This record gives sequence, C-alpha cells and structure tokens, in this order.
Amino acid sequence: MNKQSFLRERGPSWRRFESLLARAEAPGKPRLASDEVSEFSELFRALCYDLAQVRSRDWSSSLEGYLNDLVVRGHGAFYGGRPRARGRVLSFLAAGFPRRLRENHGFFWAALALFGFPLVASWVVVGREPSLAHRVLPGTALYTMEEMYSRNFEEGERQDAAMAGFYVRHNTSIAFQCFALGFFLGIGTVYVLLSNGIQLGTVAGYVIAQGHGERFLGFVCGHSSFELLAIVVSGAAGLILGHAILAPGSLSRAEALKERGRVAVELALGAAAMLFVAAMIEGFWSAQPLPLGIKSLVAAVLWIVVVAYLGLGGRTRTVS
Amino acid sequence: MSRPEEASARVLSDQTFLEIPENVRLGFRLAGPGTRLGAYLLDLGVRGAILYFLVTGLSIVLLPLATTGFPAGVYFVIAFLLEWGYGCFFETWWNGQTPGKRAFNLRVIKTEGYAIGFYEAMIRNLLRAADFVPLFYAAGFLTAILNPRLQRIGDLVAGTMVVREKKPLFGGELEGLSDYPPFPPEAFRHRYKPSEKTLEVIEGLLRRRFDLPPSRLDEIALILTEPLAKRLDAFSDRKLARDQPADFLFRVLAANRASLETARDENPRPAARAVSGQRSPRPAAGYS
Repeated sequence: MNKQSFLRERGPSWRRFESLLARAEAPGKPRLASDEVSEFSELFRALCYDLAQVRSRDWSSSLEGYLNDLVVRGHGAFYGGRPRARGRVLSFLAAGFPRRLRENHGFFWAALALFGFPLVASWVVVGREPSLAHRVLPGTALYTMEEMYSRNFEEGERQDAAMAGFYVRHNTSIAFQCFALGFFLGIGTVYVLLSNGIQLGTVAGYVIAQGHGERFLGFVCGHSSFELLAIVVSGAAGLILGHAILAPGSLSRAEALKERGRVAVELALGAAAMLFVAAMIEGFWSAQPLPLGIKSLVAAVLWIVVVAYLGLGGRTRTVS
Repeated sequence: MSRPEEASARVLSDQTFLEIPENVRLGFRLAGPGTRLGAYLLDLGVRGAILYFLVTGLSIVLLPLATTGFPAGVYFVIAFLLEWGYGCFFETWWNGQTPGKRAFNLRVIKTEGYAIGFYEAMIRNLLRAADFVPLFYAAGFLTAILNPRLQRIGDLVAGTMVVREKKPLFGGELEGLSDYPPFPPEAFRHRYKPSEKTLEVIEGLLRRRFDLPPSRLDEIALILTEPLAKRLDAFSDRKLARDQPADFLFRVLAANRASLETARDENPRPAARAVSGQRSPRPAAGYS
C-alpha cells in the first residue's frame, strides 16, 4: 500500500471520526448515541493503528501530525471525563468548604498562630509604647490612620458601594497572593501572614493609644470575623502548598503538589467567598454611625456565625 | 508513563510524549515562552478592552446613581473579576483556551492529555501570583525553561501544560498542480524517486508560495532544485531549475503524482489489516 491509496482508503473514516469527535467535544448534554459511542471507539482504535503505521513507514510528517492531533483529541474525549462545576457552587459553600477546612485543621491552627500571635503582640507592645509604631509603618500612613479615625462617621451621602467594591478587590487579591506564594516552600505565605499581623496589630495599638479607640473598634469589629478568619484560611491554603513540597510523603513532589494543590485551591476559593461577605459588611455596615454597643453586639453574632459555619458546616448524621 | 523513552527524548525537544492504552505514543508540541508571551499580551489587551467597554457602558446605565458610589463599586468588582477570573473563565468555558491562546493556536491540557476542568483552570490562574515573583513572571519563566514540559508554577500545581495546535496542513490538493506537465519518469537518472520527506518539503514550500516574496521563494526553491536537477541530467533541464525554480518543483511534484497513479493501477489492493499485529512505535529520535 502506498501513501496515496492509504489516504484514499482511510480518509473517509478519519473524516467520520472528526465529525463524531466534534459532537463529543461540544458542550451540552446528549452528545453521542450509544451506537455512535461504539462506532467512535472502533474508529478510534483504527485511527491509532493508522498513526502507528504512518510513523513506521515514515510517510509525511504533516499526515502524522494530523493523525496525532486527531488521536490526542479522541483520547481526551474518550477517557477524560469533564467534571461539571455548575450547580455545585452552593453545596461547596454550604458543606464542601468547611469540611475541607476541618480536614486540614492543622494548617488552619498554624496559620492562625502565624497571624494571630504577631497581631496581639504588636497590639500590646505598640499600645504601651506608641512611638514604636514608627518602626513598623511610615509616619504618613500612621497620620492617615489617625486622621481617619479622629472624625465621626459621616452622615448622609457616603460612598458605601464604592468602598465595598474596593475591599472585594483589595482584600481578596491579598488572600490569593497569600495562597499562591505558599509555593515557595510556604515562606511567602508565612511572610504575608506575619507582616499583615504585625501591621494590623500596630495600627490597632497606635490608634487606640491616640484615644480613638471607640471609633476604631466600632468600625472594625463588624467585619473582623469574616475578614481575619478568611486571611487565616488563605494562609492555611498557602501552607498546604508549601508542605506538599517540603514533605511530599510517599508521593513524588510533582504528584503531591497536584493532589494537595486541589485541596488548597478549594480553601482559597472559600476564603475569597468569606472576603466577599466581609467586604459587604465593611462597605455597607461598618461605617454606619451607630453606638458601639449595637455594633459590638452584631459583631459578636457574626463571630458566632462564622465559627459555627467553619466548625459545623457540612456535618451530617451519616457516619461514612 | 514510559520512563526510558522520555529520558531519551530529553535531547532539547519541543515535544513531550504520552503513551495511551491503544499502544501508540502521542506527541504534543509544547508552546514556548515567546508564543505564550504573545498570547498573554493579547489577552491583556482583550481584558483591557472588556474593562473599558463594560465600564463605559455601565457608567451610562448607572449615571443616576453616580453620587452613591455604586458605579465605582461595580468597577472595582469587575476589575477584580477580570484580574483573577479572566483566564479561569475562558479556559474552563473554551476547553483550555483564552482569546489570546486561540489566536496563537495554543491550548491548555492536562499532562495526561485530557481536557482541563474548572479546578485546573482556577489553580493555574491563581498561581500566576507565584509565577509573577519577583517581577514580570521571572519565577514562572525560570520554572518553565527548567522543566521538560515547559510548565510554569501554576501548570506544575494544576498538572497542566500548554501545547501548540497545528491547523491541519494535510488535506486539499495543492492548487495549480495540474497546470504543470509532469517530468516523464525516465527523466530522472536511474529512475530516481524523491523521498516522501523531500516531496513534503517541496509541497510545504509551494503551499506558502503566495506568502513569500517572489525573490525569497526562488532563493529557497534553488536550494531544492540544484540537487534535484543533477538527477535530471539526462533531461538536461538545468535552465528551468535555475531560472524558474518554483515551476521546476511543481513539475517534480506532478511527476510523483503521475507515478503514483500508474502504480495504483498496476498494484492490486492490499490485504486487510490485522488489528493485533501492531508495530511498536518508533523511538523518539525518528520523530519530526
């Protein structure tokens, strides 16, 4: 058989395969009928044989490339199931995400320590000796902070929605970076957690020491629950990545990264959802001119909600 | 999968191989940093354009709410979604392609050769933050060039790779081939027959003849015609080879086509193929 007669003989079934393939690849539900599936399988095996034959006879690399690409697409359509994310968003947020977090609680506690300890420590230290704040943050930043919290919350025309949108973008970007930088053996994540903890603690200690405590706490307490815990969750996600490289266990590092990376990105997505809620609270609620008592009551309820969500969400009676 | 073969293929190749259950080895042409940069820049432009048009459109629709800060909030959310979600959205929806990748014929696939899903797209796009470190994708570039599959950090974690998809060259007759009289078979010395590879190079060149400036086409064609003309000594058509090398090449191709036609008429149909008697694939070095 020479190349020309080979093409003439086999060409029609390649084209038939292509048309089946196009339908198999198209998004949507009913893709191939059952008899078409068995025809697909048959054509696919014959196609693989054709490819091997073209290679062994060294007939034309463009023909080889064409067949190779067809087999690649056929392989993907035949073996690679396409998981559908649609309709799973709600169940992921309601159950999947808190479950994932509890499965990896060790990383959560580690991230909480890396973030919470410097936050509390710098808060206490700067609260006692406010001049130390200048070692952490530049004077202009401190001045802006002090300025911001020395004014009363504005009445009437505020830019609530603009602030909410800004927080969505700004905070979630930090959380995603915190997660992604975990690839560098976790060092990037540890750095983000430590530095954010120190800066937040410093600002809190400094602003309260300047006598603006009531307004400061009134502003931050509402969204603190969702925002702080989301940062910790994204930190946990980053630490999982770093851990996969440092201690891959019985897997190769590449395999461990792939397996743990899936878990980590789920946590990062959960953190993003939490930050969206936090941004809405921060934009629309935190700046409301209301007494501290009401605000701290709401804040307490929100803390209970978040902790209950992360701690109990997705628990079922069935023991599996 | 096939470790020893992979090792032998590591001679600076832009391909990666995968053995599938049907017992053939698939070759994937990897996308290099240059093409990927091009696709990235194009996507950056598309992203910017989407942001511009959405913001312009929305600011007209939301004009009555301008003082409330609502349009600004919407802008921030759109900008955020484009920054982090653009790649993920398109790669999930378009089976591993973004507009930039589509323009450059690139596609993201799993290293096992399958189509990617939502999570793979999400992981490889969120980890751009790690690839970007310290400046403009330096970490990603370094990781990619040190990796046999040219994976950046996001690809490593997602288990994906970016491959080039060639538009099939095969198929369709070369236009204008029948206008040229074939060299008679006896024109070639010792009944010399150009190899399939040579014929393919000729055909590839002639297919591109309108994309090349005429002088450049002749220049390249001359490289091919010179050795071929020597084989045509008996026919002594070196003048054509020198003055109109493209026409010369057309006639060589036409001669081959004609010889195939006669061969088909002489040979009976080959026996039916046996499915089990499959040849083992050739070693990687023989690939092109």
